[in-house]
Amino acid sequence: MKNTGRHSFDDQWKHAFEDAESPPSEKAWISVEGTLDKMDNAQNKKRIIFYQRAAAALLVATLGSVIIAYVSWSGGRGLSDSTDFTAQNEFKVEPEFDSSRRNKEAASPSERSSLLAQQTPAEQNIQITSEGNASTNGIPKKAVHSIKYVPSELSVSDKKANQSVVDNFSGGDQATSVDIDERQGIVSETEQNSLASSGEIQSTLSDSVALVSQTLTEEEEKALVAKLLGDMPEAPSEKKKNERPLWASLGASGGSYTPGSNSSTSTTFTASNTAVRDFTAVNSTIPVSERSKTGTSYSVGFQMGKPIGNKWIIQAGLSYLNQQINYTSNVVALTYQNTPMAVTAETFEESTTNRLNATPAYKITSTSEYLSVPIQVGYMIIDKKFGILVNTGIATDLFLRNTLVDQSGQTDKATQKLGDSEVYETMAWAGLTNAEFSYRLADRYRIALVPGVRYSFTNLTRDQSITNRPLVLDVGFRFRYMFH
Amino acid sequence: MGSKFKIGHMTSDQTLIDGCAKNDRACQRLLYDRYARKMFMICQRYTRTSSEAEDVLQEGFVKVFSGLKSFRGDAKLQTWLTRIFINASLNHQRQKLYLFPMVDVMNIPLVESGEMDLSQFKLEDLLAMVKSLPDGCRVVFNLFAIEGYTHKEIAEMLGVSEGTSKSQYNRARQLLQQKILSQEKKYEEYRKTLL
Repeated sequence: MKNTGRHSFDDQWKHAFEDAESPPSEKAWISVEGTLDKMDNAQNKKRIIFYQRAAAALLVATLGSVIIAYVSWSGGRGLSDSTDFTAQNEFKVEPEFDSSRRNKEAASPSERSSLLAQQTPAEQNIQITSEGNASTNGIPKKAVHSIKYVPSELSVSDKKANQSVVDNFSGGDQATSVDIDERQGIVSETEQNSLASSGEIQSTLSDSVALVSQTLTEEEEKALVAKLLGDMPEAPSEKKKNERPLWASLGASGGSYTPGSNSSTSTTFTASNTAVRDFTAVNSTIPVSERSKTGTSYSVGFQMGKPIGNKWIIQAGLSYLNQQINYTSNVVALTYQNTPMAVTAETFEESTTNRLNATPAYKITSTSEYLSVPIQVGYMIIDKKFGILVNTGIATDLFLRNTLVDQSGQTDKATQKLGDSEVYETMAWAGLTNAEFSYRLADRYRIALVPGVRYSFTNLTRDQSITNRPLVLDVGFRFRYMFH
Repeated sequence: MGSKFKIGHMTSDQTLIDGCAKNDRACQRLLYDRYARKMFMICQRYTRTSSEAEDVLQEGFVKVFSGLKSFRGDAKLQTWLTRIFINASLNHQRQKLYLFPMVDVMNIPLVESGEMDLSQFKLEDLLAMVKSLPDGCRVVFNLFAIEGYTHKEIAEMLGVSEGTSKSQYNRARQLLQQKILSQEKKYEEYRKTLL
């Protein structure tokens, strides 16, 4: 710093004050310490609020994961129970058989067991095995009924071959055997349908039981139905149908957003990106900035999903969200080193090391980054090779960073980070709605196009007078992998 | 509150910086004790009263402690601190300068200052002279004559024209010369009374 125009007069003054000292009063330190304590408290409070909100977000994410895990773990069991009831309801019997069956439906498995125990030895000799191995226990004049149950895994020919209801009346030479054989036209209802599903097998069974009941006494019928309802294996194919897999998806989306209705300005600027500016030229003492009406937004992330019924789905995940918008500003922040730093009127954070200074209008790009934890419930409209899924839910957005960059590059960029921003809320909530139009690429893979809407319920900036609730319209894609 | 840092009067600036960056109050106190006197003199030069100077001192040290993390060690700590306290003083004066903006003052012919010898004056007297200057003149004089900034730099710092800076400086110099002459006369009369 060569200073021309200096005189010996100036040098004498400089020399006089060089290394000059003057003791401040003791209360000066007390004031400094008091201010530092206040700042510490404010920072601690901010930190506590941040941790509280982070804990809340973590709790929500954990809860979502637990729900998914629970549904994943218990879904098959729960659904199999309901399948049993469905199977029972679909169990078709002839009218005269129905009353005794209803009695048995009302009884619990333990009651049914005790009922069986109370039966006469003759009744107990009625044996039904799923293996289809009818056996007599050697006691004469006792009816032994064997109903063969055909698992769905067997081929149709096997099923046909094994479907038989055998009445063996071992009393002397009386032995009656009734074979249910589609080829012989005995089970006409079954014949009309395919044997691919277990429901049909049950239908066959009900017909078979009805057929058997014609030759049994009422007591024998009761025992037979009790045994069927209590011991009949689950319908495997139905269970399998309802056990939908957990899936994981990776995705990305991009679109535009409108930050809100009002901006912090009432002035229209003409800004230049190329003109060299004098950052210290005071042309206005009122800091003003103008925000563009729309910005761009993109996000990348992953999600886990789990069906919670035939049509309903719950999804949760983690994504990185980036929102970018332009401003025109007439102020810069001068650091203690007199370095100009890009600021907008609404994001200027008055700090101990920055002061605001007016400058000709210039353009700034504001980039806000968030970590988002979305939780959504979806309804599956179509679940074929081509699928349509409609999702809605909420997202917890954790503020990561905001960066203001002067598009002309004449000022330093200004960054506010997680935990130290006075301007941005640490956490915000947003509502999400989107539709997934998916296509099954292979047994385990689906790819989806996802148009969606996202709206912030809470203001992203602490200053409530400035509306900053982005409404995002975006289109994304997802690649989904299903765990069988 | 005990400090995690082993500190004493021989503690290096770097150790104090590390401690202050970790918000160690003992380190902050030691740094304050080490530099407060020098910085307070700077604050006094730019302000009219001691009370104002203490306000600026307090503001400056808060800036120092919250900005020490960004101190990269490119300059000496004292140089860095001096700049912070000058800026704090300017911020303090800025409001006044906005309310009473500096304007060009008439060019008044300067008294030749070659014969003046400031060494005969006490520091307190010189400080009192500077403090008695009008706000704009005082700021510009401090920046130009004592800190060594050029008028161009001063103009940028204060958001005024270079001409305004020069004009304010000339005014300050003229006023100081008058005060010095007046003070010299008083000294002369005092000596005569002693004889």
